[in-house]
Amino acid sequence: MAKKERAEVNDIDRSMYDFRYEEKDQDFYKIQEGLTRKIVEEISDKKGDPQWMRDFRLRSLEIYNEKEIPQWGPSIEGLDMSNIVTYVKPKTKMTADWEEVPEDIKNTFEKLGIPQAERKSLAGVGAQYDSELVYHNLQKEVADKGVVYTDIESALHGPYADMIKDHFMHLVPPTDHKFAALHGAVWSGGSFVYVPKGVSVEIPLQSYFRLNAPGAGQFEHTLIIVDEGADLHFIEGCSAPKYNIANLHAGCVELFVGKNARLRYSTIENWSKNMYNLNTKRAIVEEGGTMEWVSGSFGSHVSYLYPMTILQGAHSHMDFTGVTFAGKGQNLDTGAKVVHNAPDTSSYISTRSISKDGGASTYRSSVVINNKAKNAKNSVSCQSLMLDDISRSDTIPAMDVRTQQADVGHEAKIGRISDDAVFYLMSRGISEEEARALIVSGFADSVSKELPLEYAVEMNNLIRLEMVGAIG
Amino acid sequence: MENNTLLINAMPAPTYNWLRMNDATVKVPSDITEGNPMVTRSHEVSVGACSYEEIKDIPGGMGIDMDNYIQKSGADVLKISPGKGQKVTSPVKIDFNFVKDENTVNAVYIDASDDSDVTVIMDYSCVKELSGFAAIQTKVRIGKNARVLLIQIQRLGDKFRFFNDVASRTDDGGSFEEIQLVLSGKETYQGSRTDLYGKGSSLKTDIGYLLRGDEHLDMNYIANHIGRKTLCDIKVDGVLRDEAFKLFRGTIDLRRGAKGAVGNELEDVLLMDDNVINQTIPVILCDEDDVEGNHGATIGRLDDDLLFYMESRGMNKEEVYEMMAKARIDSVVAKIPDEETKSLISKYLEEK
Repeated sequence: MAKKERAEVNDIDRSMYDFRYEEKDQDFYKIQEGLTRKIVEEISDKKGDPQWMRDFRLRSLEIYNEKEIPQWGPSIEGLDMSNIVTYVKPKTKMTADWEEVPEDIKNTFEKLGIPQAERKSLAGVGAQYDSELVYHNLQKEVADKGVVYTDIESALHGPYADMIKDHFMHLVPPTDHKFAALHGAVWSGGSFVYVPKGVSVEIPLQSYFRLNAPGAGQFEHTLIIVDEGADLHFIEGCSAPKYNIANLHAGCVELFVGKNARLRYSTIENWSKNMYNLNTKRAIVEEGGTMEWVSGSFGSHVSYLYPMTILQGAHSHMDFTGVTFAGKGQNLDTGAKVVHNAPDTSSYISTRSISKDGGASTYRSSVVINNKAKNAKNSVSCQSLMLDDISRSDTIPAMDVRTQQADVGHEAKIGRISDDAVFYLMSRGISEEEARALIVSGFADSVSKELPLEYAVEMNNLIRLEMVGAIG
Repeated sequence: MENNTLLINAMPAPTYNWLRMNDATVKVPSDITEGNPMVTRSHEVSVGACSYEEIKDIPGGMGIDMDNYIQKSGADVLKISPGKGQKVTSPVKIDFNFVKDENTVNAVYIDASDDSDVTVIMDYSCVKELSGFAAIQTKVRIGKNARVLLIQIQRLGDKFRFFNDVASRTDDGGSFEEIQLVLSGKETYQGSRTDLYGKGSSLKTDIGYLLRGDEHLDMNYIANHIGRKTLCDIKVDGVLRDEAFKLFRGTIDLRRGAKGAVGNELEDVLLMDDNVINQTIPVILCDEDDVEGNHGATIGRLDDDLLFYMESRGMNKEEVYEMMAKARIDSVVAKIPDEETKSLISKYLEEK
């Protein structure tokens, strides 16, 4: 009998992200490794924090020291905070003029295609290099509508200072978990976006986070407020070159979606495979508002990533579309959380995960429907594809329903490429190789079709599903 | 006197702590005695006793603390052991009819030899007002191509606390079927774990529950696919009324080497009153590619159209609810092959 060989899917080609420039001491300020009160105070001094923020950082540090590391997810034993540099500042000021960005940093972002994307398809761009924003720009016509898009430090000292104080880490308090507390203590960089009432930003804004320093942590904070009836698409991109020592990303994203407003938050995360990605994202949605998440997780050594949505207002809605690709040496624990707190709320979660070459992916979610959420509706669909017998794929979905007047549906499937589907396609004249390639690329299609064309292309470049199956 | 604390019903793969669904920490009494069930059987099957040591290596769904609790009680293990090739035609019935406000413990061992076939029906009942406690553990070893059907019916009073643990392991071609009905009881903790070791062995679980008042049901089901071409099918149908609470944890673990294994898990929950709490966590763990794992859950209320149709035929809302609740339980009862047990349940549901 002819031996049937397993169709293979190549690993993500991430060489385009692995270039790096050696950081020269004279160009960068680096804080001492580890996490102490002195280090937190030094970061606060460097950033010129107002007193409330300084106190907030120190209180967060205390919470960090008290909190235990979670025991339910992938191991983060390889992460030693005493070796992590929590603050690396390029010795340059943030600018809105691309030509003023230092040459090496500019070259990095040029290679990542950021300025080109800005020219072609974005209303505004923020670029963070290590711990600080180096470039931030917003198109004049968008700014003229009253849209604010700036780095969060500037906002902290400018006319929006009170707004920042009223929202900063209110959705994700430092008590939430150990790495939220860490973020509260050493956060640096990130973006602040305010879209005024009724304003629709028709082309997306993007922040790109590049962590270049070996052994460093990146703790950017993204705060977006979309006021009543407004509309925004925000794109977040992240990458880092690969080092042999652990890097840490513990960012925090807080999104406030006003009455009848809509926010789409798209992420293509492609951290290097030495990265511990312990990121926290949360949105609260008022009456009639819509929150849409599009999430592609491709990089990092270990990820804990579960964007959470609190549907606080009646008739609010959440959509989550995610794809996770776990290759060799990766353990990606991803999913979504939703809390229905109001009547007539609805949510839909659709995820795809692919595991290959010894990678492990876990879909983890929670759906909570509280007693007030009469007529709430939720639907979850998660599918996992195992591409070889040395990989791992788990699904751990939790549902907590506390009212009779709710409808919740959940379905999940784990398996390999269906022989029946391959047979069907082959019976239509397609070769086995092509059939398998078609099935795998179609599997991740639900996310790429949700992205703007340029980003869908980037994602497809990331996946680069090359099938080399053979028959006989 | 309650001075023992047990950690039970722990999920093999825990999740967020804030959901409080990972496990249960419970107090259990230390002043316990061995219960005295009545066993009815035909002469075909051998029934005797054995020590706990003989069954210690079969882990149950409630976990190691439950094992230790049962073993420390010193209770004898009631052993039912159909011989090789023996097809036991009439079911073995074990009636646990609790009559006193006391705390009892029992262990049962079903040792099904190769090619044997046996049905065991365990009925737990008491008078409505009784406020006792019982912990019962049933361990099952299923030989090559043997089949065991275990039926457990819970008809306890609304002050009764009950722990019900099942453990089983299968050899090649062995088949374990369990039907469990939880029809009442103040606080019930229930677990079941099946280790599908043997090639082509299978598990079929059907659970039905109907909870009312402030009844509390906490479940943990685990199917470990270890052998090749193993199958499991877990189906849960439930109804929650009043302020009832239910937590269902179900884990299908498709382990490396279990090539050709298929695991299915499905829960349907009908929520009939506005203060019920339903928690469901259907987990699939997968360490092998040549497998198929599916799970689904539907949680919700009665369909408005159905309700309207029934009301337009002259039934009031409460009657429709009662009818639909019973219909859901009846779908599980219909799988019981013993007419006497079926009528016992029907009578109980009518009187309840």
